[in-house]
Amino acid sequence: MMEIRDLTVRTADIQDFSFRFRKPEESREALVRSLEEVGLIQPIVIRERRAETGVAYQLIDGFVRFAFAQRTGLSEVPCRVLPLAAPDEAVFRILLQNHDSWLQSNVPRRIRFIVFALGAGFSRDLVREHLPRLGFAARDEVLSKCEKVGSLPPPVFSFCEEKNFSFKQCFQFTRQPVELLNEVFAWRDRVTLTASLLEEFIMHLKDYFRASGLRIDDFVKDKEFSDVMNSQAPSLDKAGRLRQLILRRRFPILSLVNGRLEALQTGMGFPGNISVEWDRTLERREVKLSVRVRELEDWPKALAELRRPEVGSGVEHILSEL
Amino acid sequence: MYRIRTASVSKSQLESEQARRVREYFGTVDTVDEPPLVTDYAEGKTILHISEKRGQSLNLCASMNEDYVCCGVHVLKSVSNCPFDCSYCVLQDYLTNASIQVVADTHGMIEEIRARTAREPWRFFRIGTWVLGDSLAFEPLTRSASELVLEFSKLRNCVLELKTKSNHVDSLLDLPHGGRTVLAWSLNPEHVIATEEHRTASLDRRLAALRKSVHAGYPVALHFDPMLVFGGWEDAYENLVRDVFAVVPSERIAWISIGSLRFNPEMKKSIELRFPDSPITAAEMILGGDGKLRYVKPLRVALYSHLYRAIRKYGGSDPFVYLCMERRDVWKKVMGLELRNIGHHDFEITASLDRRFPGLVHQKPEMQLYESLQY
Repeated sequence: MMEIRDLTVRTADIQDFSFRFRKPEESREALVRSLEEVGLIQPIVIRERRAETGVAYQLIDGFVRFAFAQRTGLSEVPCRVLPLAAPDEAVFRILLQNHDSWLQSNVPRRIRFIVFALGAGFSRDLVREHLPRLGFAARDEVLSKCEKVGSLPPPVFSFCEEKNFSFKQCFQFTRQPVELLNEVFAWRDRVTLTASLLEEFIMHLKDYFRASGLRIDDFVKDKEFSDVMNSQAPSLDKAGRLRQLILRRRFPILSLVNGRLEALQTGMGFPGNISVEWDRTLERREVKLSVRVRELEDWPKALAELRRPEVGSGVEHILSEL
Repeated sequence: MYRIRTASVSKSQLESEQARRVREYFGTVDTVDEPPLVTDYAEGKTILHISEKRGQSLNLCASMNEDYVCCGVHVLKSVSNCPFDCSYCVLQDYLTNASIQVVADTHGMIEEIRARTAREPWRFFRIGTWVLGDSLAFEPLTRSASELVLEFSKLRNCVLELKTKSNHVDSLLDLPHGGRTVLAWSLNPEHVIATEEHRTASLDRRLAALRKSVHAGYPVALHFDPMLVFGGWEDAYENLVRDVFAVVPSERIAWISIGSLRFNPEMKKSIELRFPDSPITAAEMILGGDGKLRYVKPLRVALYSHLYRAIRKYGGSDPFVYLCMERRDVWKKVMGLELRNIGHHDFEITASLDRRFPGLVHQKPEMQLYESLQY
């Protein structure tokens, strides 16, 4: 059993901060508020360092509390001190234990922790060994994937955290061009984008650029794009218009043919209780005519509508397009 | 010639010609009970196993679907995986064991074919060996196809189709094939071969092999499948058809198939990971009723119509042309044909062979019998 001592240590003697695990700002706010109300009660965790390094102690856990102590001018803080000989594995376990509840509720947070651990100098073997505790398989491939996710642009990673995305969803973003991710995520200031809409936009735009040879810079200079983004419409409406624009670019043939079919549908001049539908992927060659009848007398009227010559020729034209 | 790192032989096939030839080529090979299990597709292409026949080898083509009409061809699983690396290959997401396996038990496969074809003696079976790999890619090494050619020359109500993207026909040219093997090529413009059909023979080499096969008296088949959309596809495909018909006379063509790019949605990621520079997955595609992504129908119709017109322009009205895994309404739009069902399709191909290759089909095909088949 490792000997852990409780001591009061001079803040000036704690100088090695390599184990600082940065959580998003909002996670720290509650703790800062509590510290301001009741002061520093809970000790921070430190490890002894060799004197020749010029540093007496290494901070392991309690960075927000330590920052509070410094900010409020405390010259000493209560500490739990690990001996010099405390192995990295013990430090890693302490970190895991202390952040456990924050980590367990969210996959991207766990990825953040793994990336932090690798960056803080814990060995890959050690981190890999503890992956099952974080809900992952103990494989090198998982570590590599976590590193890729960890290198996503900060707004994208934070979004994954906010939406509590699965590992697979987070990793999907690593396959997208960074400039595309940065641009689309920046649209969130002006357009209401749900998680699924963001994913859809990125997927379609990536394929559109690959098919057309264009780039995101070309797309944002497009007049239609500017019209949508600069319009005074509510941001939710803008999202809908932007979606239509992206779909038109990604599926030009489907958009063109469906546009023609919609014109034919309009030309049939049906009242509201009769509708014409077709397979929008254009794959199935069929037209579906639906009649909604609420009163018996609606029925002969509907039949008369369906018998109009424009209906027959409209159906014929739609079928010939399909 | 091949990138094979290790080769092995099933104990039961030690005395086979394939095992002898592979031993000769590699110097030494492992003898094993089971084929080596390889899950990584690319790695599988470096591991060759001469295999025994395991379970049923002969099946109907796996593409059967209600909406998309299959031609009713049978497939003989005599080879699995292949040394080529086409970006669009469906095997990338299909093979559970990716090691290359060549079945050496030709006798066992032929016995199964005899039994199957004897159950419907009135029917004419087209049997291809290309469903899980290229029919001729390993021919210089194993001579497996040569054994099949000789065996098929003695069979009655079937024909063998060897389909390839290689030019490995030399060992077949002097065989007494009896006209009962169709040598077939998967064809695409050189641009597609260079960018998507990695490690396959160039178009010139394929056409040279095609010419040799015709001179050796083989019936031949052409598969313009998968057609791909790219800048200038119209001219490229028309020139391809022109070049092919400059090499092969129409009357030697048993059949021509046309199809376009299609794959399972899961494969999109595999292609993009393995071939990040390939644009093929970015095309305008929809999910078809058979669960496969394919070009939107107006584009498919444009592709097929263009190619079909070129075939008729350069090859005349004689060669039998069909669409591989397409909807009936697409058949009608492209070729003006009302196709009732798979049996009808199967009958039409057989009737064409009977008319154009006297003596190949063992008896006059009857439409009623073909249409009564349950696929």
